Amino acid sequence: MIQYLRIRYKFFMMAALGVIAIVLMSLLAQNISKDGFKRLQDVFDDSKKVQHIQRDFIAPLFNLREITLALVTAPNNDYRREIKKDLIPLMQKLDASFSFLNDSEINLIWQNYKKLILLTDEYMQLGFEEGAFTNVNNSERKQFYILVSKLEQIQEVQLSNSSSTFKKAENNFYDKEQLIIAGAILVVCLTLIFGFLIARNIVFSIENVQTGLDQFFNLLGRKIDKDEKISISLKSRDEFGEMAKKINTNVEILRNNLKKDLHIIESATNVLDEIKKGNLSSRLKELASSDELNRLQHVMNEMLDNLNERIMLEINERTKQEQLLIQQSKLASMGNMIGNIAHQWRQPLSEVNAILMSIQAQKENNDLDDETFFKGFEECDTILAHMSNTISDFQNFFKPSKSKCKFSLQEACKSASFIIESSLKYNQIHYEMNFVQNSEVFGYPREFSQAILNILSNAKDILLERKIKNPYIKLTLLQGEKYALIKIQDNGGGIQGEIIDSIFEPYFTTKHASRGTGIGLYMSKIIIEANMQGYLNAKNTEEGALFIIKLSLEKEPDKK
Amino acid sequence: MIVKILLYCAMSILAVANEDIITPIHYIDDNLDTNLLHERLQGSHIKVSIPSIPYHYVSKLINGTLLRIADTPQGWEYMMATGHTKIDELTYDLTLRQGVKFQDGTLFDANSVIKNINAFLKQPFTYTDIHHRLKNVEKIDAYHVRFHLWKPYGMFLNDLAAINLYSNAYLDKFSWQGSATGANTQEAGRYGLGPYILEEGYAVGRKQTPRIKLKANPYYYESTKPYIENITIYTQLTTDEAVKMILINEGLLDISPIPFNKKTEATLSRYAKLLTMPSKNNIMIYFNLMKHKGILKNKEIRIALNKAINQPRLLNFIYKNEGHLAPTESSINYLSIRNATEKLPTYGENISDTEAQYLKSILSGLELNVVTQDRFLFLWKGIEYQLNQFGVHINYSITTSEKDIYELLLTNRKNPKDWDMLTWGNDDWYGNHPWTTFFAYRTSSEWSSIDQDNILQKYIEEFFAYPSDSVAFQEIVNKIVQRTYENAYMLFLPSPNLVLAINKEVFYAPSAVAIMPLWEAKISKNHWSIRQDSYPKERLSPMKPIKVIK
Repeated sequence: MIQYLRIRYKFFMMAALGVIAIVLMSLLAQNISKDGFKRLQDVFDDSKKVQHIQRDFIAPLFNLREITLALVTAPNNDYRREIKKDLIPLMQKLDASFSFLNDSEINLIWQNYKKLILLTDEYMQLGFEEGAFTNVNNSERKQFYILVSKLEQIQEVQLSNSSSTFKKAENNFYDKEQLIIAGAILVVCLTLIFGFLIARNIVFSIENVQTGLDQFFNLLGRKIDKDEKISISLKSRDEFGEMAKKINTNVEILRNNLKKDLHIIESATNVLDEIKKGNLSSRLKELASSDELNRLQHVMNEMLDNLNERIMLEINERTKQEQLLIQQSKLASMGNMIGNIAHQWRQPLSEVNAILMSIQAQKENNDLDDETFFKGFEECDTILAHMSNTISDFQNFFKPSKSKCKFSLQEACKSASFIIESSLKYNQIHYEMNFVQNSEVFGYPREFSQAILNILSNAKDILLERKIKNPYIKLTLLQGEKYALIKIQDNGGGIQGEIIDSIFEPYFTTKHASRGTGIGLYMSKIIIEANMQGYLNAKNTEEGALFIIKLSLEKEPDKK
Repeated sequence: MIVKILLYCAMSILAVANEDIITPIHYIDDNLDTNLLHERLQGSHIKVSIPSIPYHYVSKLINGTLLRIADTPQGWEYMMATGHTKIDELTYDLTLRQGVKFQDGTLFDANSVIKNINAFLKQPFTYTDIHHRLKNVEKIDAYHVRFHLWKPYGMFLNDLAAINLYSNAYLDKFSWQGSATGANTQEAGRYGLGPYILEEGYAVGRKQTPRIKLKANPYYYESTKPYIENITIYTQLTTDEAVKMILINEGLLDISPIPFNKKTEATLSRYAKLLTMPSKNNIMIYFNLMKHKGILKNKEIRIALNKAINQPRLLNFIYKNEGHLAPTESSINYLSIRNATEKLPTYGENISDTEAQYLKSILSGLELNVVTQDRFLFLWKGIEYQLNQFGVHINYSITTSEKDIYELLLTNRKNPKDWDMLTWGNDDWYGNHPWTTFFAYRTSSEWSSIDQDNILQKYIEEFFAYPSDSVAFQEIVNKIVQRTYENAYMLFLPSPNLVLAINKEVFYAPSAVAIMPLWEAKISKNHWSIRQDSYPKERLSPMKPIKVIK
């Protein structure tokens, strides 16, 4: 029955049950409160009556008694006159109170008590103090306590009424309390049963939907076979039932679409694999079930086309740039080489010049003999041969190494030093090399020498640019157990902090455009680290920069 | 049926109502007149307690005197004399009653007077000055005598009321034995002229028997009196004994003074009634100025003690209003004393806090030895309460017999005693005359505990000379009162009323002075001594007290 109800009606039923329970309990509580209030009013009324007896009768009677006693014990008539001022009004007040009491028996006793008081007064006026004393302490006293006792009996009755009313109220309260408890239990039980049934029904529906959704999401997550049957078996006609039907329908559609999409994805994966292999022309041709995937396919194909195009453009641009860079580098190297050659040639040229000038002078003076001439000629020839060797050396230096080989770091360093030594000397830069031990490493010796030369050239340029006094460059070769260490240190003031991390990047230069390409240190870093699996780092010392090259002494170090 | 139910209800209501309605105590009137016996019946008998000066009261019952003290302005009435003439300041003629016989049947005449006076002069009492003033008496005729004085003596007639006239037989045997306390019949016998014969026991000044029996004198000159044949007098009953005997029992005591605080019991007694009346009795509380190093020699302390006594409170709470404020020890009921103290406040009235502090500084730590008869103990408790507020501590010596009081008082002058204060119930033995109290200021007398006061003695000597109705008398009374007040020679208390419990079946009109006119007392036919049947029930109800106002 419940399963045929819609959830909103089920919730409405539960809410209605709660409201009915609250209303019922409230009505019961209200009824108890009203009843209790009435009982309390009765108790209060009875208490007021008790208080009335106390206030209007007993208390004034005790006051009267006190006055009559005072009358008797007063030391003289002056005191008595004062005391009697209170006596008569009090008796009149009590007269009025007793007449309102409507109790003839008590009124009779009161009248007699009054007479006895007046008798005491009469005795006192007659000077019969003993009689007054005796009357006060005998007849009057007895009458007083009888009167008070009668009034207390009335009080007792009223108190008893009050107590009885209170008892009734108490019993009533307990009865109602039990009713409330029973009602509360009934309502709670009904609510629990209905709630349980409704909740169970809802939970069952939710669980079914949850199971179906789990299966669906598992399908999405490929935790189950896409061909496995997914269906929420919910037969209720409520919102969950409708939801289950819709979910089942949609799951089926989704599963079919998913199959298509999976195929598309597989195709896309294949296309990407092709592209990864370098086949940039591979494209995704199948269509997916969903527009999004189709859009994705289209975007992907466009992107691949675009990428292909951009790669080609970038390759071309790079090629151009590299060619330009290489050209620049060659020009710079050539400049450097020519400068170095010039420095190398400066002295032999002067020597040749001097020989030739000597021969010329001797000739003009006619004292050139053949021996001198040939000797001078031979000397020039020797010098020119040396100069020619120098050119060869330079040519060899800049020739790339054909393959990796074991070479001497000391020789490689010397080779680089030879190229720049003359230039350093010319510029009065103190250069010293310290070879603690000759080390041999595996790599490209000429490229390595070029890297050393680049570092030395940069040091020289900085020393000259900053016009450092007493400039120097120190090259030190050290060897440990596994590594050889080459330190190139200058006193050129060091590399500025903000650029120290950028000096090995390509095209980074601090030199004027006409002098630097920004490729030297980049090339050096490539040679040392990429080609020879070493390390090239730079840091500042107190005086200048320090370049450290760390190379493995192993024969064929592992590639990083 | 309905009528029966209604009747039952009505009866029930009535029954309840009767129980709940308290009727006041019904006081019967002292309506003895119809039942009084106006003649003396054989066996009629009353019993009387006389705790103060019993020798004096007994003497007045058994002896005849020329004049008899009475509550009259002059303080006396004629008894054996029927008239007198004051010839001059030193000479008095008295006419004697004729046809009177002594109790032994011998004739009373001028010779009897001459013989008694002569005997008296040989051994007079010394509590007045008659022994210095009376020269002699001479017989004018059988029933006329003339008294001659050495010097004027205003108290002469009052003194004559104290000189007993004995029969020849008595004089022959005992002569006249005057002393400080006055004389009385030394032994039982028919020796006097009074309405009663001393039949058993005796009471003289310094000694007495606890019980004295008297019998009606058949020769008494008032032939119809006394109306009661026998009287038993108790002289040493304790207060409690006396109260129980007269208030609770019948036939044990018929007349007795009771403490003021027993008035209500007396009113409610089944057998007794209460009688109160102003009296000229005096409660004398002596300060012992004779005591060696006695603290009360210090006048400042005596005054402080008097100031410590709040008489109005004492009067209200202890006297139960049976008395009057009195600035001195003398009863205010003496006309001359009332005049003399008119402008004197009682010491303890209106004491300021500052003064109270001062009194406390003087009195605190004071320890006083007090001698009293037990019948004054209720009074002393009140006094002690007040004195305690000022730090005074009291040590009591209590006796039931007045003779013990006399012993300590009358030997004090010769051999000073250790007591500081001594209480004596000094009833008006001298008859409406302040000498009753003044005699205690006479330092030449054993009755005085004042060591020395020449001025006061001079006043006393002068006092003797003036008759009580003279202006000079009032003036000298004023001086004496002023002197004693200023020196606070005693602890001054309110003047007490006479408070007696009397058997309901006894008619007795007491005197304000120290005489008990029992010869005029009567009994009713319901009196225990003559009644044959049980006591009528209606007579057991409380009787309205008799308040005599004079």
